[in-house]
Amino acid sequence: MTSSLNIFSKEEIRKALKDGSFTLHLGPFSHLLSGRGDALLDFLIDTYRDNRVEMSPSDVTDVQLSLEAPNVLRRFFRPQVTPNPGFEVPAMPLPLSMSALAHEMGLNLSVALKCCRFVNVHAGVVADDEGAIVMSAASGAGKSTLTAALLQYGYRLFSDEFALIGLDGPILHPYPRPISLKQETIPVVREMVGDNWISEVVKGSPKGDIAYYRARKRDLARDQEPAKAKLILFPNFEKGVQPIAHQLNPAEAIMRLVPASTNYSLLGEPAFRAITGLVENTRAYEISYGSTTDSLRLVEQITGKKML
Amino acid sequence: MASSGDDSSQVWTSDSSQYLSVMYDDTHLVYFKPSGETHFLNFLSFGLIDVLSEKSLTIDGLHELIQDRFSLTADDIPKSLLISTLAELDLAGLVSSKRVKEKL
Amino acid sequence: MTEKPILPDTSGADTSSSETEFDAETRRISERRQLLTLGAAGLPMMLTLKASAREVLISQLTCTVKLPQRMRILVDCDGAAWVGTRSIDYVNGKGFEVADIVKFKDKASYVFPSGTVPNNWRPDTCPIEECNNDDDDDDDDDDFDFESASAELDELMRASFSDQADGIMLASAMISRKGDDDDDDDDCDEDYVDSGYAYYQINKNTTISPADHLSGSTWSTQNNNNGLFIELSLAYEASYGNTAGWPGISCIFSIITYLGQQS
Repeated sequence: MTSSLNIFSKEEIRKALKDGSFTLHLGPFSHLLSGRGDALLDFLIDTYRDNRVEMSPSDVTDVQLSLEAPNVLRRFFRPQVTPNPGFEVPAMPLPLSMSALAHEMGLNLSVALKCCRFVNVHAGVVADDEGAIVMSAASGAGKSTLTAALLQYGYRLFSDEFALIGLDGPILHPYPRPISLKQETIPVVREMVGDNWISEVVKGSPKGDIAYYRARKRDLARDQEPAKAKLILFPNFEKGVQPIAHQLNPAEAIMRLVPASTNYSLLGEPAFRAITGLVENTRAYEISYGSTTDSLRLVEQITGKKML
Repeated sequence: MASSGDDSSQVWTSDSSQYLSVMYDDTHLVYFKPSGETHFLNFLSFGLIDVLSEKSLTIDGLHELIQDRFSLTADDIPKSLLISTLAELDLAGLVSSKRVKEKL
Repeated sequence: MTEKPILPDTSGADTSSSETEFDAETRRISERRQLLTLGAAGLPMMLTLKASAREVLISQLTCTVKLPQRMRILVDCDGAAWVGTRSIDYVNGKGFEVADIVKFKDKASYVFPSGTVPNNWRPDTCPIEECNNDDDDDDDDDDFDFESASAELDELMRASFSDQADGIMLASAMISRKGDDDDDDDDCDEDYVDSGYAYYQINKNTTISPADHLSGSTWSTQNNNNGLFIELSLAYEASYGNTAGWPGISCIFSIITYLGQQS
């Protein structure tokens, strides 16, 4: 029986994390988490306050993530934390104060590595009643900001990290975790949504300053509602660049989506069918822009849905 | 096994049950099941595997059939281009060849 | 002030709506001829999609298990196994200390039922009769130097294996190599047992790649010490699924999921 995290006391949550029984339910996955320290606790209480959780798992979980010291020494002396999803991952230890980042990285790695029920594509996804917009781009290309911006115009959050494409039909599945914001995007999004929605900034991380825009209750409430794709975008933010959109043919879209997938080769034939199914009847555009407003205007023009 | 060029004793073949394909205009996305690899083929390379899936042919036979299929001439599709394209397809496993005994 | 964005460029889209069928076919033939000219000049006629570096790096099948602490495994003749961290002393000429075995079993973190462990990891020798010891002279081990016996054991184990990267030491080999021992008359010793158990140790931070034990789409555990870990992992997964606890269970589970989806 799941409940909102915010009904539990800090001590209850701390104990469950320490015991390794804390279970977070989100989208198609359940996550068993363990870890220590106030940094992790405060982050979860703040940023995951509206998420469905259990203090002990009622069923087998998809993801098991332990946030732990890399060795005994580092538990006590200049404490560090590293995500451990139960197998070797390319993640370096971080100071304990960056537990938020370790947590988010750990979940990303777990889903990217473990998930075999979906084709994973590195992309932001939002959706309205007409369907989902898949925004595939490398880190730093602006997809998180665009994702956050679209949420202010009637779209709901599916994910800012993964497009989860179903294997039994080209459907996108929501996985609305907090949107990670880096460096300059933090003040941009903060201005968009207000302080209350942005976590404390994790300063000095290997990726620079990082903060998280927590998922809205109404998006979490619909995390079991998938959607068909209506549009595929390949966004590229570059300061000062004139906004332009260039439509891609399906072959070009596939050529970009496949390398952005974390498990296309592994899944093989089902992934081939899923990706080709996704681009069928779905327009794809490459968009370049120098500001959030320009990006929204481009989406507005492409979709025909008035936003600004 | 890669072919060694224009060898009239070689017969080429393909097997359409070994791959899935989707067509986008003149581009074909092909998923080859045995290797798990995904390839983009153009009209010529796909045309070759399509034809060879129906009938095993020598280079000469294939050259003739392909010209007919696409309403093109031998000048448009030099035999050397056919051979090099078959070599690419062979490397990917999409076609294979075998030697046939010449009739006495 | 931002200029109004340029309308979507439809250069990649179908623009043939105003073309006649004849024009479209003519255009197509012309484009094909251009492509063939490029092909004759060396342009490849096909392109293979490569997995991204990220996918290769984090490929599910290449997940590895790194043991967070030393693991010791005790296996009996029936293929039952106990997994824990306590050490079991082995005394040259006598065998494993029974008290250690009892404690090990009692404190084991994981217990696997009979039949779990395949034959190649079971002990070489199994007891054939109950111990019926009339002579208790050797029971008193107070004067026995366990520490150096254990150290001797460690040293012998280290010397036995050239592949230190495995970090796994096989104690039952020691039993079968006991060889010249004039204690044949003292096989029955209530405080020691020199047959019926195989004892394995995997060092902390040992990295094991489950995918090394795959043959195509089926498991084919290598007949080495890493293989034992994989066998136990599979047994754990079969009973408990992907619940947390067994080191690297997520890795094993993800491979099993992948294999299940290939069949």
